Amino acid sequence: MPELPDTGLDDEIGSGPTATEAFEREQHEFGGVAGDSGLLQVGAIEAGPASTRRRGAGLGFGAWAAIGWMGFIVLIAVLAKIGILTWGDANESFASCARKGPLADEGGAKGFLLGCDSNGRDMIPRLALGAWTSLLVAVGAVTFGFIIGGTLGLIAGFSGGKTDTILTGMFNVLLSVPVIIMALALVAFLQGASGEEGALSPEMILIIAIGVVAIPLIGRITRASSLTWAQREFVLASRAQGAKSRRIMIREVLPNVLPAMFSIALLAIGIAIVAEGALAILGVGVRPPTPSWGNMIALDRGNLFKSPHIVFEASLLIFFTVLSLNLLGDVVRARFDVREGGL
Amino acid sequence: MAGSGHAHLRPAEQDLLRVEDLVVEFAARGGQKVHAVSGISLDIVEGETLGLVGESGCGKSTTGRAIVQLPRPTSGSVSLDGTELTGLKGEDLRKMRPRMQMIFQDPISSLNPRRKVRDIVSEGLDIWSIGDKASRAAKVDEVLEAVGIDPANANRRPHEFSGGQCQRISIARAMITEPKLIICDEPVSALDVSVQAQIINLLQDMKHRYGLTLVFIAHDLAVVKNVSDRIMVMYLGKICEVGVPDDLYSRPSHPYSAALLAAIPVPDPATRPDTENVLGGEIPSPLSPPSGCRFRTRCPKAETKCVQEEPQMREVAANHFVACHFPLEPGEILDFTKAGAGAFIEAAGADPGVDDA
Amino acid sequence: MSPSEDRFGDAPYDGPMLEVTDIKTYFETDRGLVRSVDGVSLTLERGKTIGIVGESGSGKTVLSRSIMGLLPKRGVVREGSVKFEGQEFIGIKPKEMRAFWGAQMSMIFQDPMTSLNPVMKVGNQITESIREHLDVSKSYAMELAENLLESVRIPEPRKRLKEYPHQLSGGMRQRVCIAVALACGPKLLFADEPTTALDVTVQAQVLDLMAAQQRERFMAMVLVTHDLGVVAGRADDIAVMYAGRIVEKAPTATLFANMKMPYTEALLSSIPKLADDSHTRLATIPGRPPDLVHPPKGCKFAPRCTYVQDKCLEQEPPLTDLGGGHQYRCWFPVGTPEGAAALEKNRTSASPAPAATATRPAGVQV
Repeated sequence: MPELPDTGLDDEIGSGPTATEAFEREQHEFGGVAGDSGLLQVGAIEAGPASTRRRGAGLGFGAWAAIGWMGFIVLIAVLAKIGILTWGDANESFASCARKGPLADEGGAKGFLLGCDSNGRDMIPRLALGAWTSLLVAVGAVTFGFIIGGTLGLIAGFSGGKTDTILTGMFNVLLSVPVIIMALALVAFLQGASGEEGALSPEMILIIAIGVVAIPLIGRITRASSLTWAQREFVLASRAQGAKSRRIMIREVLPNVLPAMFSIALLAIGIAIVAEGALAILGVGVRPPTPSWGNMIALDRGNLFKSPHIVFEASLLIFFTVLSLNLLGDVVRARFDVREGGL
Repeated sequence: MAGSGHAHLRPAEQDLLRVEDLVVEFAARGGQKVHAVSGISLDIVEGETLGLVGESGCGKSTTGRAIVQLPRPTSGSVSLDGTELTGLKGEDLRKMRPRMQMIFQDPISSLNPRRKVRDIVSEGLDIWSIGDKASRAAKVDEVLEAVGIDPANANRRPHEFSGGQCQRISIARAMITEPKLIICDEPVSALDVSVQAQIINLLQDMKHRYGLTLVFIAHDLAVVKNVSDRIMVMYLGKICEVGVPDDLYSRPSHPYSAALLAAIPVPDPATRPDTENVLGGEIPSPLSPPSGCRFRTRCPKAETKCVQEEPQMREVAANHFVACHFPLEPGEILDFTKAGAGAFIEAAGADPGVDDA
Repeated sequence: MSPSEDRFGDAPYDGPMLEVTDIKTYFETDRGLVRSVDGVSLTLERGKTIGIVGESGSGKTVLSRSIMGLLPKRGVVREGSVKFEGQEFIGIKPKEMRAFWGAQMSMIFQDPMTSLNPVMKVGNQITESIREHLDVSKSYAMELAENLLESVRIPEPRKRLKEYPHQLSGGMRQRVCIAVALACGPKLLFADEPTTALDVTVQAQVLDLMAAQQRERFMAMVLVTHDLGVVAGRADDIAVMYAGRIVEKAPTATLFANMKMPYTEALLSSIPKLADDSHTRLATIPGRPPDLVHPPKGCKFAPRCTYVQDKCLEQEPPLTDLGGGHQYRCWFPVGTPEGAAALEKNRTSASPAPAATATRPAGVQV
């Protein structure tokens, strides 16, 4: 007697979509638009769906390298700041070493693997401490921008109507001011406001300045995502059950907006690091002797030809860090896209 | 077609839902208005299933959403169980919501991908803090089992379920607050044929078990016939015909109903499709619908009267109402290749327009 | 020398226009190898229509795209043989395939909203194909386009040429897609669920239009759909697909009158029909389509079949040819003594149905 097919409750309950159904769903999400006809399509479109990756394509080499690099940098930064492992003193000057690169063999650069800057300070501890400062400012600024800009964007996209118009208008006004001017103005204002004794540390000032510049940018992106999700039917369903707007926004829309925002945040940190460097070159920023990658470049860019190693080393660190953040941002986005597509 | 015909409504005391002269208009570019629904009246008795059928642009989905006030209709009256919904202010309306729920077309889009199924279904109870945690969990389990989902899987997310299962979850979510009325907006259109049958059967079972009243909106005439006790045919924001399924389908009175029925492909090779008598033309734009009877631009029976005067609902047979100046006689076959005189009279709206929502 | 040049001027090919033999299309995914099409064979003569019917996941869409060669470049395994007028498609370079697309064979897709380029005028989209394959001037191509629009019964064709797709309704868009597909006079047309996204009255119009064009041009058509009603009236032969294979193939009248596969029967009985009374209980097919990555042993439909016996779960049934173009794969077909016995056996041995089996039918009508 053969096993009879499932009686009663027809689906194999909860065992999830079949491989084909999930495959088709990814096509649907890949090619579909929120709120479209909803017809499931099996699309072997020329472009190819995300799911036809080669089997076993987990995180590639690039992603692991990026994670490794970021872990390394963060570790160094934290250790340097806490003071556990400083590899020397960032502030101590060795006159004999001044402006000598690692490959210099005329007198006294021995023992300094990466050379010294124009004041004779050892590059290695300076770069390590600089990592801390740069990362602090970048992450701080992005967090600041996300908390304010992200919230405003979420509200704008979800509410629509007048609220949206006002908030978008605000964003547009902020965006029409050239970024550098805005940042400089903010720094100047905040420095003045914090007075002579410096109620706000320079890092804090930078965080706020870059953060405020980031607000409209992040706000716009969040708004777009929020708008798309707010049009989905589960939001309507929630409203139909009598949920208040605030509840819907936080419980239904926000969890869907967050993953995309997270990947944007990683990219934004990279941009903020470079921004800090730009501001340092313009003369505002973290005051020496506190090192940051940006102000190390700024300080010694005059010596670009005689002692290129200073600028070069700091730039290289920035380069790899930003590259890693970009790669990670991509990976995070791809991960979340596919999972959503599998929805 | 009926602008303000009430002939087909039954005495108000019997009605669970009573809609009178519902008008829904949206603002469009250039100061124009989309006349999505223009004066619909309907009523449902408790335990009945009303089928709303029509093609895209007829306003059936808009009607369904206007009934639950999402968004509020432009004008008209909607009263549920004696309470007038259109007059209610924000908080009062919100309190009425658990009594009327909706099920949507796309099972994927109607569930939050980031939430667990358990939380999704329990939402109705959470919002209103009904019962304590334990009783809510028990209720969720009960309703999930009723729709055929194993409660043990309730901690998974929607993407782990198939399309049919997602639609069941939607049904569970709609039922948990024990509503009196459920609006089903094309609940099976996005599902596979074999899954459609399961969901249709499920809805029938739920209806009997929990005493639900349903508004079933669909474009598939065969599906609507299967589930409905009463059917309403809509065209371009107006009602054409109201009747009992067996009656309406075998003896359609409105030319449009006849056209719809004639166009359905029948899975029987012996009935060759009628290639000559296919309804021609395009649906006029809802931005500027034709004057008088809105179907006149494509109707072979249209006359001058149809241009000037909007037909009102009237009874043509027992429990069978139609809004037409020249309804079909039983057994009359229409030749759609000959559009009537009313079609040639140019009026705004003969322009084949863009699909509206 | 491109294949299309090769064809022109040759003696007419003596054999079926399209000959598909054991085509397989697998997709490499994270989950494994998805066997979307797992050994399909069919032939098509010029001027004929074959309807391919199945639900989502059956492989019908992938089949039509695979025959045409419209698949992603990577992650796809395609085997078997597809011969169009004797020319083998599998294995040739995409560049050579392009000579066939549009000129010899073309496709209409399901969703007219997304099948047309929203930023290109309608006229340009039609002439694009014409100018690719035929060496004509722009104005002549536009004239051809206008004639095409007229032949697909679009009112005011000249005006429409200059409009954008969003200015047209769904039905008109699909007609434009048909015009685009027919622009170069192909011999074979693939219609992949062409009317599913359209209203029923528009559906009838579009299907009539396609039939008329087919007659005029003596064109063959592959009509892919899930709707048995659509193929009943419009196809010469019907092939029912399940889990990547054709489970039954027959001329239309034969299929409906004398179907052999339990799946075909179950499919037909689960559709609500106009002729039924309202509130008729629908027969459902229990269970779910099989996992195409790890398909079950034996007959793919067996786990859901009301006729199932032990043999079905173990061995795959061979292809039975009844003659007259009717083929199927089943150990216990509908309407045979073995089939009836199997059904009876299952019916009597089933445990008394618990209350929850309300959705299962007592038995599918034989």
